[in-house]
Amino acid sequence: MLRCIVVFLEIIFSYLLQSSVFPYFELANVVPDILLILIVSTAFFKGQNAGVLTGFFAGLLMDFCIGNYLGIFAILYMIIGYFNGYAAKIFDREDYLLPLGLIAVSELVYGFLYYVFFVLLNGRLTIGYYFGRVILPRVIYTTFAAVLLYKLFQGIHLLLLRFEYRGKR
Amino acid sequence: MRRKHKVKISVRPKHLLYSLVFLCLLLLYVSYRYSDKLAPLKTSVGNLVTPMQDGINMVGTYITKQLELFESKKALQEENRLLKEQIEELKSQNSILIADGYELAQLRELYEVGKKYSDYPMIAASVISRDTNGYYSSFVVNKGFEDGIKKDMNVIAGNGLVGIVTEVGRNFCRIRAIIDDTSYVSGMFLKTTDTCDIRGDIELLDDGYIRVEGISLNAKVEENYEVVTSHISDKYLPGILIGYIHNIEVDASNMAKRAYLLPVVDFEHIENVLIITQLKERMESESE
Repeated sequence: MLRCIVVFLEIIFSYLLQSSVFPYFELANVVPDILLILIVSTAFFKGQNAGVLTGFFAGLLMDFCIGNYLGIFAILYMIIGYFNGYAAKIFDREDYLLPLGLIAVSELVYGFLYYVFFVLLNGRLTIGYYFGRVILPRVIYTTFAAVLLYKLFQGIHLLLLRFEYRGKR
Repeated sequence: MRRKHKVKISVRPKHLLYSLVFLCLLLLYVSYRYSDKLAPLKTSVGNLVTPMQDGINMVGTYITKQLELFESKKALQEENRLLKEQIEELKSQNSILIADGYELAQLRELYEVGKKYSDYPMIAASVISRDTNGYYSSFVVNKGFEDGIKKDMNVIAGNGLVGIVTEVGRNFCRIRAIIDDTSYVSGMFLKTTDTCDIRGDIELLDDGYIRVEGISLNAKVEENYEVVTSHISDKYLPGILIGYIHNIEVDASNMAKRAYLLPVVDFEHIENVLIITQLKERMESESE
């Protein structure tokens, strides 16, 4: 229960960071995808169910705030949460390379799916251009942001674990 | 006991994913079908998030201002030197512009562009968040229907067109910039009254240009002509300056000319905008 509330707050926090703080630190016209970092981290810590649910609520928030139609971001994020949940079985608190790799790959997949749903259907076929202009910079910037934020999310996760452990005893 | 409890709440991730994807598809359909009725729902979420963004934004502005203070002295001196050079340049340009001003006044009378847009009633608003996906250029400002903002109101900054209000909440509204990939504005050359279509194009965005299409082959347009919003647009008020034309060429179809347009607004650094609270009158309201 506590975890639900905390993750919910984390979602709001990430969205605010992404929409209002990072635009001040824009690089190559892109903003890192903090929500994606959160979803991948949560899925990595707690497994597929947690990943799917976090993706669902984070996506819904995006849909409500910037989307035209509800549900599309939720689907994208849920898929990402679901597949990253597989990695929860090999979760290791000392390993930082794997989550960063997961985040980079997820952002790449997300960028591609986003391109297909939003840009390709809008009749623009130049994927090479979009790849260089938006997708690749976003992958790089998100991965860099993840170096810091993953550590933060992991800290919160470990803190919660300690609380839960104490509660069960 | 604990194990039992755990088994009870466990759901197969696959089923959870399927059911939620189904729910999302349902939501997609509903929001597509009944987009008007869902607007209050979106607004209520916006109402929740906007004050927070507003607050963060204030902090952000404060921090950037502080950072700017730390900008090195050398850079400022260099800038000062450049600015002085620029002043000289501008002085000479100014005298030319004054002469142009007289010409403009005459031309305005000739073309009867009508009221200049400085006469329109306007509300100032500041930008509080931007679209976080690199594809679209839309942003949110801190004025909503409580301040009298309505959908399709035109937005300007400085002396040029920024975009149009696409969504209104209680205390915020979303503005689609004219550089947006999906934006379309009907424009007109001030000097020749030839019309053209101005489309946002992300591929030209980095060079700071917008695409202009559909200029008549017979139109006698030249480099640096001013483009304003046209009379035939159904959402944009006429006579708002958009930018200057560049690189005119005959397009692939050989039926029309196309060109680049350099907008007068600096979209990279928009902080404050003016929303014109007068809507373009629609045909049906005129026929009464």
